[in-house]
Amino acid sequence: MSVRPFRFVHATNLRLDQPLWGIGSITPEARRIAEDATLLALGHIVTACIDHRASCLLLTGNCFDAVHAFRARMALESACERLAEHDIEVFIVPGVIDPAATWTNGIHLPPNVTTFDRRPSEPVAVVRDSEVLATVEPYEERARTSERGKLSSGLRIGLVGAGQHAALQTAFAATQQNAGNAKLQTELHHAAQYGYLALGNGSERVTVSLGNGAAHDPGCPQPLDGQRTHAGGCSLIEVDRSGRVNIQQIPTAIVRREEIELSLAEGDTWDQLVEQMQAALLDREPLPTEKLWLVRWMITADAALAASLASSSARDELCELVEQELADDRGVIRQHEVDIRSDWLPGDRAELSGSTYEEFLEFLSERLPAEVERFRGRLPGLDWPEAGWVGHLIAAGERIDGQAVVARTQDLARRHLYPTEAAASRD
Amino acid sequence: MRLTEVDISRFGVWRDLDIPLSGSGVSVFYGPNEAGKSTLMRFVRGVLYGFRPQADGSGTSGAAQGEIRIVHDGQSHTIRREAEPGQRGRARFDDLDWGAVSEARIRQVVRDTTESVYQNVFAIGLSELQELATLDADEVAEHIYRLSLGPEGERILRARGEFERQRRRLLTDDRKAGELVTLSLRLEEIDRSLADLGDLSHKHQHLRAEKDRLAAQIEAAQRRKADLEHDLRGYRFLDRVHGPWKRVTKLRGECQALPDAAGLPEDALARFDQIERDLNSQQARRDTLIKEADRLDDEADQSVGNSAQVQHECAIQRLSDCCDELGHRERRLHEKQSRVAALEQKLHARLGELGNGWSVERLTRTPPTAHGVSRLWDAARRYQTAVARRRGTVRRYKKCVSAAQKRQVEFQDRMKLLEGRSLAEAVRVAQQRQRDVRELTKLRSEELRLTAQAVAARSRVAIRSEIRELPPLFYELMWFVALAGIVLFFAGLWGASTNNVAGGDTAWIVGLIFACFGVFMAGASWTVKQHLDQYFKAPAAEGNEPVTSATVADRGDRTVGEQLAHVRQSIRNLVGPGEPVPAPRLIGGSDTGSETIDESDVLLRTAGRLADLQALQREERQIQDLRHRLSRYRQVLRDRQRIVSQRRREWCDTLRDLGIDETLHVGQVLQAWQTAGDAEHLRRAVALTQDDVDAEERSIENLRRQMSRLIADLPADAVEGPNADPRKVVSRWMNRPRKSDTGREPRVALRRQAREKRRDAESAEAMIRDQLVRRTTLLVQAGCATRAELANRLQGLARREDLIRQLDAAQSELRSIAESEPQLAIVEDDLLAFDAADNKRSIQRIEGELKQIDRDLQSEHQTLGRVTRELQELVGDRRAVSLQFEREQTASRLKHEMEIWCALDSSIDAVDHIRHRMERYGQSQTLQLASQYLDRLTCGKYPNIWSRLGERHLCIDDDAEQTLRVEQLSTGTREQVFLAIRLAMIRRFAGEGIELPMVLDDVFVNFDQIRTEAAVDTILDFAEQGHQILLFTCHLHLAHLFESKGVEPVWLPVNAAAVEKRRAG
Repeated sequence: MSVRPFRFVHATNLRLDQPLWGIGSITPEARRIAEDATLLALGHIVTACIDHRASCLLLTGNCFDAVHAFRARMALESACERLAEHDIEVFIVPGVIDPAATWTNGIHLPPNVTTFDRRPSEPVAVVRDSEVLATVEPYEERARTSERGKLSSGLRIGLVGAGQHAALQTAFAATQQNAGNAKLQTELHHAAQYGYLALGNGSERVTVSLGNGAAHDPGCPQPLDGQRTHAGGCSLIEVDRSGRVNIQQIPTAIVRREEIELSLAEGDTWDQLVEQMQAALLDREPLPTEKLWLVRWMITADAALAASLASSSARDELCELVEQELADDRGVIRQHEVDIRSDWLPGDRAELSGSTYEEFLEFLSERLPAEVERFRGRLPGLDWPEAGWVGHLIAAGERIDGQAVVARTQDLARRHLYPTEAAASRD
Repeated sequence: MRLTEVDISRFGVWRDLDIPLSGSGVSVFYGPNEAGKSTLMRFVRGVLYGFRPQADGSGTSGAAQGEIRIVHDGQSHTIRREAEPGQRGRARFDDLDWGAVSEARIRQVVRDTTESVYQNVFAIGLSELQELATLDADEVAEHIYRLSLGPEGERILRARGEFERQRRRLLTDDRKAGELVTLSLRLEEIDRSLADLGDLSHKHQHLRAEKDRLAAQIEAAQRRKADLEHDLRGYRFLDRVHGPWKRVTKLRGECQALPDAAGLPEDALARFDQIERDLNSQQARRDTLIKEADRLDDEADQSVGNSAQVQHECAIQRLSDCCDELGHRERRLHEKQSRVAALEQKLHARLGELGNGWSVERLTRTPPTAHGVSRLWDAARRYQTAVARRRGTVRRYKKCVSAAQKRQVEFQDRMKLLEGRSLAEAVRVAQQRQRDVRELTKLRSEELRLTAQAVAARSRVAIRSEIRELPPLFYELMWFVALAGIVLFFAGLWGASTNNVAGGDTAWIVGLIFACFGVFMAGASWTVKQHLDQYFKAPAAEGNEPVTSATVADRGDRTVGEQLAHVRQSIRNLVGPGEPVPAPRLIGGSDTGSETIDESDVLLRTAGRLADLQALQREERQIQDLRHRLSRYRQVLRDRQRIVSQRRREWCDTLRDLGIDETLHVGQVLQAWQTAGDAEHLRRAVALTQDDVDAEERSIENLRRQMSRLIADLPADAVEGPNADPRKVVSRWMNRPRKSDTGREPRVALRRQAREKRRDAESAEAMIRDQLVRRTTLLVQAGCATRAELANRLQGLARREDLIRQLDAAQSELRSIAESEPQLAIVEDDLLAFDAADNKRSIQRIEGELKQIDRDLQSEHQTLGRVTRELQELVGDRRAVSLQFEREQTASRLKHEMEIWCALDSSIDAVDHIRHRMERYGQSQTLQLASQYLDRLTCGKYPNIWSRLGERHLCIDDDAEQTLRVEQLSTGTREQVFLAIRLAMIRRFAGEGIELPMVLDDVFVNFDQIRTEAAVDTILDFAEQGHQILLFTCHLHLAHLFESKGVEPVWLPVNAAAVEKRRAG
């Protein structure tokens, strides 16, 4: 196949105007950045399309939801209009939080936008200078798709919206683990009819080779939670004459979360701690789009240093010192959260054998996953007072993370049940 | 302690009661109610711990007194107690004195067991058995519940307490307060605030729809307004047009009725008259001039000259003019040629500067353009920027490399001192050496101590030997005293028995004194000897060896010597096998050779060396860090290099595109490009100037050809051959001698005058013709033939012109009206059908409608403005965003706290599980024993007694493994539990050496038959284990039950006095 070389941009899971999670207490300036982070990320996607002279932009779902639709819709309209000024087409496929109905009510998109809000949808051609560069269509059942494949010219682009074809997307995300899965192989064979399969889950960046093409999920342009600390972005796809695609990540995230662990030697001073923190920050280069770093420090120090940092004012002073001497022109606001703990070395198995610490952990390791479920189930049945806030509490209970609970119990065990005499004897 | 007899002189209802008891096993006392069983029990307690006058009733009928006989440590003793008013009575142990000594001895016998413990554990009645509080006294409870939980138990309890505290911090027990509630309330508050703000999305959509609707309405209204305005303009236009149009129509009709005399001037009649006059005068003047010209020609003919000469004069004049022109042009050509040459010289100079590759042809082919300059500058700037960045990075990298190398060299130099060993190994060796030196120091101290001890032992032996060498007189005196004592003793005895000593009846007293004195002396000498021997021989006696000063000294020396040898061997091992044992406090300085240093110096040096090595390790880590930094720098450098290469390629591509030789000297290229630009300008100037030169040459050539033609027309004698120089020809013509022609000048003047007269005559003739034409034209124009007709016609014309003026005015007005509305067009039919009244009504209607539309538009514009402002406010309002953000953070924190709560909940479960396990399998020995007894007492119904960790409360498991609190048990079972606990405690006490008889006062009364039998068996088994039990009962069946088990009850007599007294009372 010989096609005319062109470029396009793929982004997904924009979650426009959705608030970031677990930010904590930050300055008003940083808060404003965090509040607008997803909208600013969209701006960077549009800029990337214009700068790289992309022929089209693919948005594969979860652009915005009904709750946060107001500013999101405006931002999306504005972005599409800006792209229209540069003759860049936009192809949108609905996702989980932005189903087809979301795209038909109350949004005014310019003519350069094609929304595949009906199924089945006909392929749409991307044309430049009277030449078809690609045909874009939602990923469909195989019979229909195969039939279309014969008719299409240029690069065939299939769109898989977020949450659509869940089994396929999950299989792609876990291709490494399921390489021998026969069903997956069949799906891959089917998907290989596309030159580029745009995946939309957006939870993480995934690229799977499909013969001459590729299936790709660019991840979230601005991750909302603190679980993923990597920078988010969209993908620039370059198509060469042979129809092969070359995928390149373009950073778009505004807010970056960093979790930095520092382990100080015995006798290390504040100055050394400050130096180490500064060195750790200098080792990390900010990406051009980043404006706010949320840095969580996990510092392990000796008891004296840990005690000197016990108060929040001392930790604030430490962060101020780090920032004062680190003032640079990189234009990134940093917000610090310091979690300091004194030296704690896990004992060897022999010392802990038979201890309540070990028994506690064994008991919990046997029961915890199920216990969390039981806890969730037990919550609504408790004797709660008649108040509106109870619903929030129960809803929060529904969302608790089993792994986090395990980590908390381990921390509790370490703090309260670890046999100190064993540690003392080691010392 | 075993109770063997109870002898009551007076106590309660009892008088002179003596009850012998077997020293072990069970003693059962049967007596009916009020027989005095409990009194007996109180008596035993009172003897041991003191009477309680009021409680015992001893004060009512005389002082209580009595005694008990016991066996303690295999010896029989008697304890007697007599009541004292206000006191607990005085006691006497055997024959000891009354009071403190005897009380102390009694306490010794009961092993300091307090009265409380005795009363609650050893001597119990039904009331004590039924009361749980009797087990809660500290002394008792400590035995039941253990004193300490142990570290694990403490940790468990502390952890549980802390978990509970944290859980309560999150959510109180009543689930109405705590961090979770606070956060949930905050969420609710935020939700309320968001609800107060309303559905902004819906509001936004509504406003946008409203705005769109209003915009559409406004557009429609404006369209309608435009249409109406158009119509209104039309009607008004029609109204304005109709008057002028009607007037024009009328005037045009009148005009058409009058004859048209277009072009006929108003003063046609006056002009006609003027033409007549001019014609007559011109005719007269023409005739006069012709006559004069004829006369002058005649005069000129009379003086004829050379006409050819006149023609040549003209040619020569033109030739002269041409010569001047030629000279001027040739000078200009020369100047231009000089300029071309100068420009060409400059051009070649510029080309020479540019190099061999540059030529005029190349410049012509690829001229340097402004776009090229822009590209070149752009590429040069990018390339130079990239190079500068790379240079900066390289400079920093080199600086870093230099620092790294310097540190590396220093590090290597320091590493060389390690003699090939690795740093870790060197550190390990240094640490080992430090430990060795410390060990050596300790051994040295030990060696010194042992050496000093050996010296001290030897000196002590010497002292002892010295002491042992007492003067012989001492021994003789001692022996004398002893023998004298013996002799005196026996003499005394003999004297006393026989009364042979002088003194008569008192002789036995003297003898006895002698005997006593003798015993005293013998005893004193023996005591002194024993004392001294004890002092000198005591250490040896422990080893059952013959004790002498020599052996002591030998043994001490040997032990110290062995230790000393061991220490020195250790020192030798440390210092080196081949080396001699160094002198104490000094070791050879192996490092310095000649220098001798002590251990403290070595220790200091070793510590210093270790510190150096550790510093070296830090240095190594820092160098490693520096390497990592260098690695990062290299990465950056590679990136910079890549960018430089890319920019260089772009630069070269640009040069190639512009036709410039590839070079990296940007300055030279830019300069060359500038020079090329200059050359291009010069080339263009040369070309333009050359074109001028060519044009000039062409015009000179034309001029020369013209001059040649003029010369050719000249007579042959005036020129010198075919290529004569024109200037010479002119010069020769001018210098040629003039022929005599004297009549020439008057003739020429006559001819000239004649020509002028004729020209004037011709002019007059022309004017005559013109006047004739004008007169004819005027008449033709007026359509007349005579002057009278012309006068009539002129009157009609005046009227018509007046009408035309009016028509023009009307048309002008109409035109101006039409021009004021260029977009409107009216057909004549409309004007014909025009009805002013109807038109006016239409105008009024439209004006009314327009006013209404304007009002509507104003209103809609206001609404649109309000909606737009609301939209802008909505867009600019960040309250919802801020609240959403805060809500998400609060929800996130609530989730986090819920996870902690869940973790605490699970942790509390886990801790309770561990606690339960510890409670089940880690109970005190007392409770374990009590469980066994309860199992027997309840025939297996209740197999286990336990208490919660850290609590003083009993729990009982039944055979269904159900746990019951002691309060939940039936009275009988509860008594069995308490009995089991007391049995267990007594057994534990026995294990600690406290053996007191157990006294049970009718404690089985609430037991059913089966459990009573089980209790009897248990009691008997308990007694078989060596415990003494006194059991009082008023139940005959119980006495018979014991009797059937081989225990003969003691049948207490009925105490008639007591019965009488109670009856009386």
